[in-house]
Amino acid sequence: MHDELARLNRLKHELRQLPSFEPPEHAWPLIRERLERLPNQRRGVPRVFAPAAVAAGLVVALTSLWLMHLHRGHAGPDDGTIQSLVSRSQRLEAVLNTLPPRPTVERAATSAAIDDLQTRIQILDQQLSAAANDDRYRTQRLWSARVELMNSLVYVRYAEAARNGDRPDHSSTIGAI
Amino acid sequence: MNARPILIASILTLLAAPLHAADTSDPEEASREQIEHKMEQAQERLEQASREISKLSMQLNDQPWMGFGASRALLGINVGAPMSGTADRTGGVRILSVSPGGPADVAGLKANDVIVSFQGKELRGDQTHTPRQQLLALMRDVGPDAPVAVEFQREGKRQTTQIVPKSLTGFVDESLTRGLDSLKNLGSMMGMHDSSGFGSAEFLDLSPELGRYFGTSKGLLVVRAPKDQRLGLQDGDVILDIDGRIPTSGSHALQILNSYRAGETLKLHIMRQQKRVELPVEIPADPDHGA
Repeated sequence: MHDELARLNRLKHELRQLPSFEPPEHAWPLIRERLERLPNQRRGVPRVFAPAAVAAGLVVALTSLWLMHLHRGHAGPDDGTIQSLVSRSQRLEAVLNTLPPRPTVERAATSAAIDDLQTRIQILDQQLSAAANDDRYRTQRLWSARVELMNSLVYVRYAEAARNGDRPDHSSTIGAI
Repeated sequence: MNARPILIASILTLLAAPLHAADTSDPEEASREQIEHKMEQAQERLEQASREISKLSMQLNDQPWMGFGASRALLGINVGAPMSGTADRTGGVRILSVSPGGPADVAGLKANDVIVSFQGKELRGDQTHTPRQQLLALMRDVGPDAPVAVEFQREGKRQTTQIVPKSLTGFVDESLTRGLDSLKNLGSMMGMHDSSGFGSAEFLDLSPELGRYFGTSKGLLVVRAPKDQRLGLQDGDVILDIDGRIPTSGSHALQILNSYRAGETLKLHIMRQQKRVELPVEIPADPDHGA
């Protein structure tokens, strides 16, 4: 590395020592004239490669079209998509509000499942509140996750309520001891 | 990754179980116990499905968690990114969703309520801030357990309420600071996988009045002992602590127990027939086989 630097410095120094030089007049027309006298195949793309060049062009064009199609297929979510998720989430919230309150006597696994879902929804809500206005991909992902979790929560809460309503009220039994 | 088929399959199975039980109309064949057993099995399947949904839904969200800010207090509302053309120009901030079971839900707030003032400060917006930005800034200064006064509008009527923000404590809080990726494992951290065989137990948080019958002012009353009898719990026991950790709910007790690995031992302190008893418990390796 050090040797290479030293070599380059030496070269720079030597180049600076060269006398100033003006190109001869009409040099470029002369060069062009000589080039035109050369046979055709030595100047341009050989004829044998022409079909390959066309094929390569086609490949580039088709790939571009495919990429454009892909891009269109993954177009960013619009307000309508997100709004539809928001509406679904709000409908699920309304359904949840119609269910009876959590029972006094809780089955441990059910209660843990509900707590877990609720905690995750709280985290998503916190993230949605803080989400930047212009990040629609992220906003859509968060709303999709929220709808899935709310859906699941409604089912578990419904099953819990149904199960509890079908059985004797343990809390009143215990209260009567 | 589509989680919906799992849920739909579970719901269908859940619905099918009681229907099947109802078909056997002969009381000798279809006793109440049998029906209850089928309901319980269906519920277990539903809980399993909800766990799957829970995990898969969080996997949809692969962005890192940026934290709650200084206070880490949760209000349980989402006032996030308004759709274009729906920004509240007249002041106030529309709630897009309320977290079920969260502080705002407990305070009675609902989606589409419009918060018009927070801690006495009107949310009208100014030259540099929208009402939403004002609210988010005010929310950052809120601490856990300190009630905040909220004025909101619902169907044109102005109402007031108090929200008591809460903080996510312990492992949940910690997992949030590590990033959302760790939340994919939240289920197992919260005791969702019933490795202790404790999940089928039913509990009631003991009130002081009820506690008089059991000889203790607080604890977790075992209304129905877990199916796994190796845990040694019986109906009517009151759990005081699990190796020194006091469970606040059945879910919390399950979470504590599931933090132990199979084969590990712990001491369960309970009240049984008004006497304090210490139960040595070994977490079973195969919880289902002890039922």
